[in-house]
Amino acid sequence: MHSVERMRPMLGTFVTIQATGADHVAPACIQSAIDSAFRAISRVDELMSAHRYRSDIGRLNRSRPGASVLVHRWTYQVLAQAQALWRCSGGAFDCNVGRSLIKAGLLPRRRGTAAPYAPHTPSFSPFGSTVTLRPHRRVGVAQSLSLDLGGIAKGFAIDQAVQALQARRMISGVVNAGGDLRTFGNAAQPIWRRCINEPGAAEPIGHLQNGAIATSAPYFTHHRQRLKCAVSAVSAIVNPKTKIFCALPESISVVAPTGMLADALTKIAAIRGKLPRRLARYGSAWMVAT
Amino acid sequence: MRWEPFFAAPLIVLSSASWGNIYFSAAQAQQAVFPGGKFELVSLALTKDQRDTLRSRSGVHEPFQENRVWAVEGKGFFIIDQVVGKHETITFAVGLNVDGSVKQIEIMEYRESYGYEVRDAAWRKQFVGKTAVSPVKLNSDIVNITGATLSCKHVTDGVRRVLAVHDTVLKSMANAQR
Repeated sequence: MHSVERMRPMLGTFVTIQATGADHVAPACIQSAIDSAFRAISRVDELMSAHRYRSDIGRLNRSRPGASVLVHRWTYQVLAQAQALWRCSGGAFDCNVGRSLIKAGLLPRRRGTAAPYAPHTPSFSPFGSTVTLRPHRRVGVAQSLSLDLGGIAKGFAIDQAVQALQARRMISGVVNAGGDLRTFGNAAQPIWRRCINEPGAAEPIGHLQNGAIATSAPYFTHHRQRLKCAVSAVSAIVNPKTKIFCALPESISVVAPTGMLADALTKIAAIRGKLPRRLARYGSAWMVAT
Repeated sequence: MRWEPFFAAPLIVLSSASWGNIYFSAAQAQQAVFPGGKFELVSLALTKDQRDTLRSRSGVHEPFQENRVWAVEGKGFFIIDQVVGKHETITFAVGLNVDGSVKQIEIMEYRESYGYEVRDAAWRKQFVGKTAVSPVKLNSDIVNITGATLSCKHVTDGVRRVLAVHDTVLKSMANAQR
């Protein structure tokens, strides 16, 4: 059995893909399967990055109120999941927080506009009531948007990479996009987590087979609003109700069957302080706190 | 899905670890980016002005190593560069097409280390007596690390410098050959 591991800079972080093929599969075939997995990730980045002018999200953010925008089926799928989670979490999971991220310097200002948003628009509108999913991959926009899928799209990207590897008949592997990782295959993989006070160190937290884990922690976040808050450990997650960045005294990990759910549920757990039982059941997920 | 957590307090903590992995040697990276290409080492001699331009265009302060640039016959250029970030040291390879666009970026070596380790005598000891032939053993079997997302901004800056090298030196060289 051959195993190949590769790393590339993608999605603004380092993506590692490790895949193992069956006995008769040559390393070159595994390499090409990994290439196709990387291509799937870069496709997700092209479609859903808020940094890109021409991405689906860039187009949605520029569209006028009342517009109906045709998007790729992957974007549609992620928006549908984001809306279901918005509903289930009572508005805690909200992708329409781009404005707060721009203010904090975590997202660049929009190209072509002097201000990050038009002055006549209300400062914030909830995601679920602003975005309407219509048939045939059309997305209705009720008010001008400032979407950022940073809380869910990375999980979707690792899911797509795993699908690409499985389509090429890899028997097991790991896709790790900067800390959000998914494993597949029969082998249970040991999972390590960075220590909260010392991100250079790691501790083992369990074994994961055929599932995903995502972690939110404040140690790599650097933004301008840090000084405004009394606590030092400020994360990059915005509470949509208060527009304030969440303080995270500990790191929060969520284990779920898919990367998209693990990624999104971590954000809800960080905002709420715990994973609501209804959502845990909905996503068949667990929270692993320090 | 199956998740088996460790309930007991962790037995091992990899403290002040420097983990990382070597993914490619130079020759392997060449074949991965330009399969079947013919590589010819380009000898560059950057002037001080050119170095200043590179620094101002990319923001990378470490000197650019001139002996890691290859011309690939009919396909473009292959360049290996290194960046040192706040938390990581990365050697990466960039394949450039003939028109100067990026074909592929591959991380060849990734090593994560933090400033405070360098002050730690026990950590420094592992480098004593090491040469290029016997590289430092990294904790390379640990790939499944979950945690907050580390930005790859430094690699992006490094790639920008590689593009600046192409712009200032290699482009005119390719035109002269034609």
